[in-house]
Amino acid sequence: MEDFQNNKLSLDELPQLNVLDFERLPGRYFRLRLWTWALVLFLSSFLLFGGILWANVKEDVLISEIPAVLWGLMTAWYLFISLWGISEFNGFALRGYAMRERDLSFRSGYFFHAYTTVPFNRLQHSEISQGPLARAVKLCTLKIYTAGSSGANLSISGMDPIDAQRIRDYIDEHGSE
Amino acid sequence: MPNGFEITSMSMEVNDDFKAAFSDPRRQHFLGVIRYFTKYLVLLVRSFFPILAGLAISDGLRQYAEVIGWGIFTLVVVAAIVEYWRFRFHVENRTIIIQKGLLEQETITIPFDRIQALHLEQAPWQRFVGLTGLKIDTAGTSGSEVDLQALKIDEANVLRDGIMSAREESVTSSSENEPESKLLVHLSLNALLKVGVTQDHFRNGFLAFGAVIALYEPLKSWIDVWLSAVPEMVWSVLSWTWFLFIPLGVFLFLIVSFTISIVGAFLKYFNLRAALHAQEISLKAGLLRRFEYRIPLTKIQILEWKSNLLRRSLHIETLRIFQASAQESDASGKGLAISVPGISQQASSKLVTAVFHDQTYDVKAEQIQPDSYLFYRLLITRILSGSVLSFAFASGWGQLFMIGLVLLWAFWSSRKIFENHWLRVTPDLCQLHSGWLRKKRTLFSFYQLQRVVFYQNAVMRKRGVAHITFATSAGNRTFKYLNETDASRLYDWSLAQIEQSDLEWM
Repeated sequence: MEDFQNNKLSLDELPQLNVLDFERLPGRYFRLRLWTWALVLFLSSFLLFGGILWANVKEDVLISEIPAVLWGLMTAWYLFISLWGISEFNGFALRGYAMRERDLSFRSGYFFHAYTTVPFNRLQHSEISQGPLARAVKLCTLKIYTAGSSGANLSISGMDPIDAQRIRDYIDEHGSE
Repeated sequence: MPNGFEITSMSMEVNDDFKAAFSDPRRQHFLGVIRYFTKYLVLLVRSFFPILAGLAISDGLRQYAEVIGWGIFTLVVVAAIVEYWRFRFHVENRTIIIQKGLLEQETITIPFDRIQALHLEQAPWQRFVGLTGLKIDTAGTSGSEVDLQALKIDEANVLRDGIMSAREESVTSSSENEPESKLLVHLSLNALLKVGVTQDHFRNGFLAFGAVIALYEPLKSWIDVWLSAVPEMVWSVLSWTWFLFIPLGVFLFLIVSFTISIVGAFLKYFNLRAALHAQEISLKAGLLRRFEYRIPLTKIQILEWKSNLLRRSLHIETLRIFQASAQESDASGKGLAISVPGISQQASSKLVTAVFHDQTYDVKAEQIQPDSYLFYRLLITRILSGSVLSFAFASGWGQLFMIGLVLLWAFWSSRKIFENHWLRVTPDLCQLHSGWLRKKRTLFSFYQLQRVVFYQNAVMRKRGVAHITFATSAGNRTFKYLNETDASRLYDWSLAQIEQSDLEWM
């Protein structure tokens, strides 16, 4: 058994994750996410400004009479929406998966970035799920379960179903059980 | 007094007995009905509580009390007997098969290899009639926990040992090493007192306080009746003398907390014995409710020691042993654990060598410190929370003094916590250290991990700092604010260890 100090030097020989090329998810998933964001932005603006307009016209509330708290809340909301937008725009390039011979990695997040790796020899089972919306745009979610905690441990949404199936087939062939 | 839990040696005759005794579908001991009876009684009383409460108050309903009472009673008795009658179990082809169900028949099959651990648990009533419960713990996504409620003690022992030895035969070729057992902890009265006294009294006190508040709601009507009987004058006196009772209240709170934690320790850990065997750890204890746990060494995922100042001064720690979790609902991700209180350093190191035996623990280890980012974070949060206190307190010199005090405390405690936050890494094992006054260290081996997570938020990314989460099948452990290069080094190292290893990990 070598000790860790040696291994530290030879660590370059170890496969490194952060130099790995991560595969991007299909562009239509990016568009789907942007559309969701735009829809929320549009709907909330419609409700907020529509509400103010309605109060102004129907109830004769002057704009100056609207409490400062409401303005504050609105500002906070738009701040949140814009941060969300930034993370969607910039985050998509950071979102992706990488498959190696013995493990599958997934990374995501712009402001909160994380990457997770599940080795195939610790895998319990895998699942491909597809909701109605995902089916319409030909996307799916690949879920991978390991022992010990509830729920999926690695869940990649917005995958191309063909790619997901390919990964699954590979796992079935090369997994432990 | 029936007293079971003799540790029988695993031999061939046990195996034959085992096969003969459990090959046909059979029921539990008839007294198991008692358990089902109480189960359904509690269930019914709980669900019909409003009607029962109505009975106590309304005269109109009271005339039917007898009918309703007998109705419920027969329902409970019938349900208990049916459930008892339909519960059958047997062993077949290294699988335990249980058929049960009150209305629908349900068959549960548990292969021996799926069993994580077998626990004997004896509630007071079971001790009284010489029976014991056997809990079968499985892990993984299928198969839930199963309880056998009423087995004769020797039967339970035969069943347990039979399953254990059958399973070990398949895992290792044979148990060539003699089952010599080493006693790890034996809590004598004296040691038990030590454990009791050094407990976290405040936490127990607050728990009790919470229980009192929770009890208030169902007992509200009685309490209100009782309070309204108190003469008006007492209230008016109380309205301007209440502050006199504050010291008394605090004193009472302390006394109650202390008593509760000592009594709790006695009930739970009375006559605790933890022993290390060739293949497993056994732990038995309890005054009223007795239990015996056995955990195969290979199933242990995490060892975690906790200690407070008092316990460290007595050279004892509390050890928690985590094994793969069966509870699907275990959302906290903390896993299933048993605690061994009052364990000494020597016993701990014996256990560590046994659990992680062919892995190197004593070799030259590397120490990894967190990034100084952690220190500044701690410092800033402390100063912020402390400054609120100092502004609320006084003005002028007093305030200046308070600010100084807060700064000193913030700096000192942050420094201490930062210094005590580190990782000890050997090629096979990883040990997280944290805590200053209340210390904690967590030990696990790399190859047993399930997955690894590397986390950074935007600020952390700028500072080159990251969290790393190690997920085992008994819960997750995170080490925070590592230097980025250390974190990715650990990340790659853990993965390489998992993927190279072909050892049994669960």
